[in-house]
Amino acid sequence: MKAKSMKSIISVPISVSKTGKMKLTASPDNLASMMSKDQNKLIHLDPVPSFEDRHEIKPWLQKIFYPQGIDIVIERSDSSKVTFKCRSVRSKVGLNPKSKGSSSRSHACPFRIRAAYSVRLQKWNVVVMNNIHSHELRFDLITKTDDYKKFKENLRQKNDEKAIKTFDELEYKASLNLPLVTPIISCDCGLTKEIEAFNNIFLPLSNPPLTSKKNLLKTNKNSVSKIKSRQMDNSKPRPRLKTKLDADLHDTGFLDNFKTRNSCVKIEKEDSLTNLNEIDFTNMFCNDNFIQNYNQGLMELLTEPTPGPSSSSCILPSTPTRPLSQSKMDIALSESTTSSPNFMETDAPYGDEIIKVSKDTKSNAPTADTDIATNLGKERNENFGMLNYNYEALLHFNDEHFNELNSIDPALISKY
Amino acid sequence: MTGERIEKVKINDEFAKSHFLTTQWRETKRQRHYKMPVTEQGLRERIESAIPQVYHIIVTDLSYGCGQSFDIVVVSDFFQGKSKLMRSRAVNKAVKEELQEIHAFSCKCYTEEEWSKIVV
Repeated sequence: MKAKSMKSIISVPISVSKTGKMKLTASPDNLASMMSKDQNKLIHLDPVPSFEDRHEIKPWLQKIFYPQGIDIVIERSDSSKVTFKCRSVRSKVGLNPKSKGSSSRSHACPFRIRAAYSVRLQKWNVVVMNNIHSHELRFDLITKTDDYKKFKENLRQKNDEKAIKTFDELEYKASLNLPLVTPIISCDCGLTKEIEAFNNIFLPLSNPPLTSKKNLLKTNKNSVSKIKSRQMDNSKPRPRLKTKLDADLHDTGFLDNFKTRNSCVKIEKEDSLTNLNEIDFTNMFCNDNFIQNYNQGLMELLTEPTPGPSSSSCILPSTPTRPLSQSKMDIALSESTTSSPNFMETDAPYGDEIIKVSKDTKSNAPTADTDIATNLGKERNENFGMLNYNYEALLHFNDEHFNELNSIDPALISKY
Repeated sequence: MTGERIEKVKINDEFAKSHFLTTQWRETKRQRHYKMPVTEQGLRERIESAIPQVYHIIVTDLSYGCGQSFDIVVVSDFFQGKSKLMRSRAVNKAVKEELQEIHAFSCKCYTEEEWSKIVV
């Protein structure tokens, strides 16, 4: 008898109706096939209102799923995640009345809803993980539960008139067994595939680790290029350092360096420059041209009144002279002051002027002589300062020249 | 008289043509043939316009879309103090024209107080 009863229990599925026909609903026997065929997975509920607390999620879900005949309860909850499941309903329809009960596994419904808080988006995401049920969905059974009564009371407190009328209509139709038309839950968010991929551990085409590796490779390439650029940068300043070193060597003036030798050569050039300055100074008054002019003047002066052998002794030598000593210069200055008129008359550059003047005096009156003398003095004073001229002239005369000048006959000089 | 047999004759277009009936009969038939079926929304609008202080109206098409059988529930404080017969007459008067087209009609009228006791 026990064996027969066990067989009858096992062979009879839960979803068999009173008439004995098989219902088109999921049951433990065909659960696997229904799960594979069912497409109601990962329904992303949208739009989700902004809940201030996770306790507000359940009433919102009840408003959606009670018309569907689904009585939801909390399976587990956390501060940022809540999981809802379908209330297990014991139904004795189709079971053997003699049996004491059935195992809890047969009442395990795979229906799940997950609500998770996204810190990034600052909102709750609600997803139907599995919309398959292992039992019949009946609204009339839900209306008898205490949770439903609390739910209706909550709607009245919130004064949600539209929802109240909707549920009143459903209750009336369910009580009189009138046909119910339930709304369809649509999913237009477009995120269902992404969630499915995440849950089934299926990586999408755009793999984050690969992109991260690519980024790493890019950084490596960049680092390589940076290293190369550094090498190039290192190579560039090397000649600069060389140039600096060369400059330092040049500044130090080492004798071994050719450039420093060039600098020595420059120094030599500077010495030559100083010598040139000295030569120029002496040539101004001891130059051959000067001497020639001087000699010519003297010859002209001497040849006209008295030609003779004494004139040859008046010729000056052409050798370069040396500057006078201090004592000699003083003597020369003192003598020049005393014999200034004679000396002025004997200067070579003025010889021609004197001759011209004498010619003019012959043709003119005696008063003109005095005028001529004054004019000559004026011209000399205007053209040349006496002291400056004498000083410059005396600096370049030697003793020999001075003696030669003294050897000239003063009578000839006084005549002119 | 005992031997005579009376034969029933069906009236159709051919019979009408042969006996030269008036065109009014044809027009009436055509109008009946092309009338639109009654809908839930149409009934709802008729009742809302006729009965004041309507709180809720539930219209159910029991013919699954054919428009031949309806179940109506009207909740209004207008029915306060009225008998069930008077309430039904008020609703029937509002949907008089539609009642000529439908096959079956059921009407229940409640006040808001009565309705709150029926539902949870």
